[in-house]
Amino acid sequence: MLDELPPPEAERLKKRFDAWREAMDRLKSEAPPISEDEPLFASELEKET
Amino acid sequence: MTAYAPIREVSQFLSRFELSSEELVRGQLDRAEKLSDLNAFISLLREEAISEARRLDAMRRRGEVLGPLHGIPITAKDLVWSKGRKTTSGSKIDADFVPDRDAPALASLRARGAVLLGKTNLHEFAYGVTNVNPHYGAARNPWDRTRISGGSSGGSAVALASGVGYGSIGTDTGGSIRIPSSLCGTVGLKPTYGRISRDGVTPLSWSLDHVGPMARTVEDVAVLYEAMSGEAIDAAPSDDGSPLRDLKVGLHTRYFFENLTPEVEGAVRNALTTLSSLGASIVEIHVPEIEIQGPCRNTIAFAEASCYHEKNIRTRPQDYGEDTRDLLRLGLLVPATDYLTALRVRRSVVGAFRKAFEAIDVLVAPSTPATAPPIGSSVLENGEELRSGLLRLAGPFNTTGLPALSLPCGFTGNGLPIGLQLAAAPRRETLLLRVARALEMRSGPGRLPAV
Repeated sequence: MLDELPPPEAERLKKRFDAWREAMDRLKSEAPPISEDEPLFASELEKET
Repeated sequence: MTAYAPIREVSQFLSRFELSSEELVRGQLDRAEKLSDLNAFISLLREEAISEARRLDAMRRRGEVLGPLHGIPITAKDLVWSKGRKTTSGSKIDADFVPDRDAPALASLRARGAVLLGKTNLHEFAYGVTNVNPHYGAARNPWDRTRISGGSSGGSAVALASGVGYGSIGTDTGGSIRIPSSLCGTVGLKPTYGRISRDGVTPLSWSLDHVGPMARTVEDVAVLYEAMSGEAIDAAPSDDGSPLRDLKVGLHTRYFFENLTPEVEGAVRNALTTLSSLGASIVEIHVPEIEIQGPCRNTIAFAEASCYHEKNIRTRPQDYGEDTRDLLRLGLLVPATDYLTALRVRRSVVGAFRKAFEAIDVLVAPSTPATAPPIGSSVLENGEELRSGLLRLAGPFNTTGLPALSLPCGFTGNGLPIGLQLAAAPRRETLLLRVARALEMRSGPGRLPAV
């Protein structure tokens, strides 16, 4: 997609993407192991309310 | 009676026939038009509001009263669907969208007699915190028109702070009710996730979106929340001098008290002193997962928002404002694997916060680390980048879905409001309202902007 955008927009998007990617990679190291039954967040909280 | 009177007082005037709803609504519409430079509204519904007020006046004369909101003018953020009336979501994309029904959140207030004055300005598709809207203009802060209102429910907060409408319906995906409430000196409640229906509200990020009431006082927010939730609310604290005895107030110094402007920190610490004087005990807590909930929330929001907008961002990118377009394009680049990882991490964050709330009743923090910056600024007074700075303290309660409320707790030396945030365990909105009301009663009548 970056190739299809005008240079200023592509540059802005790449900067934002790189910042997000870096934060996401850090987050991945904190992710808990996958359990056998992964419930959905929304259904869990809504069940309570 | 002034435009800033509490709902209870306005309702009494209406009950005694000292004022009709039609007179009230006409006065409010005139006021909104006089203050149009604030850009609080995308549309005013003059004829419809006057006609509805007449109908409600006739009902009252027959002795049919729908409750404390009977004949009271309110507003709604313009992504809350209103039957037969444009709901633009602050966008060019939906500029001509006319829903065929009211959102249940709006329908519940109308069913109790509230009169919809108009639809308020917002950050485009609620995807931002400044409320500088490229299509409908920047909502201006009534305390200083050169400053942002905050967003994305900025028009609602501006209308309230300038004495237009006695309540409003806002939405909050990362702080969009609490941020403008903080910057404009009003009160906003983001209830527990799912507590108020999101049906008929144009989504930004469905697993983070919340619908909630905004007003000038905690007392008024409680009236609106009762109508919207159908829950009986008793927010009145006891008047025995220690209304908050036995209340455990959590203080999370790390994260929530880092990098605040001195005036914000001072005002929030004063509020903590007040809570102690009302009988509460202060307990220091620490939830390590606080550090990972931000990137977790960003990933979820980016992916969900771009999923909703996928067709339009690919085919009509030029019809979005620059900042919304950039964020929606970014979301198209988020892999499904990262979205799913973020959802799984979120579960551990939710679990950690729930555990923390076993030891405390409410968490107290600033709503925003600084006050309203000038329109066009890209940083806050504390030096943080504007978007991430304004989301930092409010966002954790969207990641976790916990109820949170912002109320005013003071002013800076140059007259800008400071917001205090209270959060609680799921479904403890009544507790939040009771604690906030105790603070409100102790602080006395709020200051008004010179509009």
